[in-house]
Amino acid sequence: MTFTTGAALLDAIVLAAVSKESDGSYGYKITQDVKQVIDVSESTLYPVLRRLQKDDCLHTYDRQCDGRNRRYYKVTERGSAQLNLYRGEWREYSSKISSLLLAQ
Amino acid sequence: MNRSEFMKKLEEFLAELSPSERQEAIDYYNNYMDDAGIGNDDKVPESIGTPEEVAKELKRSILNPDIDFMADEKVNYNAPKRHFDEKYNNNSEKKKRSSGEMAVIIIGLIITSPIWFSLAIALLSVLFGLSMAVLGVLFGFFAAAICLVATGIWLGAAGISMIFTETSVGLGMMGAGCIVLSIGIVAAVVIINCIVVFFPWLIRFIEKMIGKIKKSGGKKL
Repeated sequence: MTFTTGAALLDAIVLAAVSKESDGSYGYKITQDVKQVIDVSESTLYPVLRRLQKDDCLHTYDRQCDGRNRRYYKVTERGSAQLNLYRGEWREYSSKISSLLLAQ
Repeated sequence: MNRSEFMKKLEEFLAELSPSERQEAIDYYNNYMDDAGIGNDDKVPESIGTPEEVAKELKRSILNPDIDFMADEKVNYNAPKRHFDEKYNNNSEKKKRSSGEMAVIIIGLIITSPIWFSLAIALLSVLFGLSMAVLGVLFGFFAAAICLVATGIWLGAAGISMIFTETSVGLGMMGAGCIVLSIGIVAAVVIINCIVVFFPWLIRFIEKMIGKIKKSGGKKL
């Protein structure tokens, strides 16, 4: 992992991972999805999920699963708007860097 | 370290947090390990880290929220809307103010009318006097020019009548008459031009003043 992922990019990635499913996703699955893309530790992801929840970008609900409670995260409207913002920012950011870095 | 030990240590390291925060974190990791298929006696995978590291990351995020806020977009999430609201509110506030204050301004005008009315009359009189003076001077000069013309003609006529009796004097007088006549004509033409320029300027000046008074009154309102 050469390039470090800043807090904003991390937020964007987590929001995107949660919004993949219409019903939302749960901690373990979110972590696996994010790990596919960037190399992060579980200890990094929980604070991000918690903060996004405090910022009203995610909301949680519980679902009974195998006789236990599984906590699901779902993207709110505000979280959706924030994700769109991030998408635009990423497009611009990555294309600018690519045009310089990948230019022959 | 197995799961039970891990979770016990984690709870200890999170002692500084509030009970609700601590419980939420514990619930999250219990949930996680259930989904990961890690039993109480199973070894906790190294990728999760040590209980100390996990606690440190979480405490850092809770106690230093600003550090995580690297993105400006978050802070400015509502900004564009707010700016638009500000502009819009300013304009409507201006209009509201004028309609509310108009009554007060009108009453103020009526009360102070003796002052501003007499001032206005005085000012108009001065303007009138000045412009009449200018016109008077111009007419005076015009009259003088006419006199010059008349004198010139008379000199010329006198000269012609003497041309046979006293030729040199007669010619001299004719010459003088021509000079005076031309001076008179030029003067008259210049003065006529002055009057032609002055009158319209005067009228436009008066109109401008009236316009300015109207505008400044409107601005106040």
